[in-house]
Amino acid sequence: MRLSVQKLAESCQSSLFAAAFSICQNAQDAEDVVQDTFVQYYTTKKEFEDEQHIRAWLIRVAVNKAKNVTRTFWRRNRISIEDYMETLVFETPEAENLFETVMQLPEKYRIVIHLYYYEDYTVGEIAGILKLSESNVKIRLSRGRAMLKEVLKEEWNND
Amino acid sequence: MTDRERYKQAFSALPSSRHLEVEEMEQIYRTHRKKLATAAAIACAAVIGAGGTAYAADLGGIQTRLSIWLFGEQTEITATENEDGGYTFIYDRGDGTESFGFGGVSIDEDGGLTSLSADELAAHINASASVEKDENGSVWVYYYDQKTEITDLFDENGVCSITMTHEGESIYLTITQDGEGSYSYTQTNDPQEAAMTTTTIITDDD
Repeated sequence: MRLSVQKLAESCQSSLFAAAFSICQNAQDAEDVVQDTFVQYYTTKKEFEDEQHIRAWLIRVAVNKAKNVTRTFWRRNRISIEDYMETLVFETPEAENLFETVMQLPEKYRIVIHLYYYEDYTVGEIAGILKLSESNVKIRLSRGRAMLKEVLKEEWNND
Repeated sequence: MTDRERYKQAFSALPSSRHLEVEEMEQIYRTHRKKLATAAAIACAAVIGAGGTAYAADLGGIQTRLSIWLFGEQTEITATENEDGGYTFIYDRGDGTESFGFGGVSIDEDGGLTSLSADELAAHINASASVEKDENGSVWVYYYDQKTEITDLFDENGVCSITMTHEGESIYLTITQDGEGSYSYTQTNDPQEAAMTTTTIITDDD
């Protein structure tokens, strides 16, 4: 099964950007990751089972590309996450606080938390996307949640 | 409000990335392929010749024996894995043992990086031309079994363009004199890119 890039861009672009941003912490890098991810979809001859399969593949590619960006020696001159956050408009102070706290988590916990809470993936699906064992995902999810709870207190239920 | 709802509300502040059109995607794809080819060529050029004389016995990694085209001749070479994920290639050039370090990565379908094997690197070396100045001051281009002298083919700007063909596949080389005995060159399979250059001589393996 194949879907047009146009259709996928409409349904997945924001998700890919958010996933890439949660790793890169830089909007321009995340834009590049999204673009490269769609180019990779456009050029791959891979066959997909259904839309969910395509979506999971796109997320995995975006996550890998974003990790590669963070490891690249010659990363672009970037504005700090604090400066970038000043350009964002949050609905509530609590939302801003949560965003900032997530951005301070170590990368390996941040991406698992993001895929679980933003993309609604199960532990098993996250394990498949990140090529980790389910127990490893559970540990990262648990530690990430604990870190959020420690900072956010009553603003985070740990549910 | 659940944690999920809180999380989604917080991340809804992120702007959507810019919209991509299919036509734009095709343009990006073409540029992307060109960039990948250029990046691979740069990676190779940067490390070739960086090594000094070395001996196989001094190197601890797994060794592979290969046959590659070097200086227009099929050459037996020993590839030994090094600590950087690349290889040290050692060969006998007649008057002693020479070595050079070489490595590269491929990008898989999922965007992950994998170090190239010795065989893949050897294929890359074979497909890449090389430029050398000999002890008499003559400048030569080598490509597979071909050897072409280009000493007198540089224009007033110190640039020489040359097309070489191996088994029906053409490469376009632009060689630039950088200074005393030093040359840099670019290699492309794109005739349009090569058409931007001036003097062109053509050689092939027929």
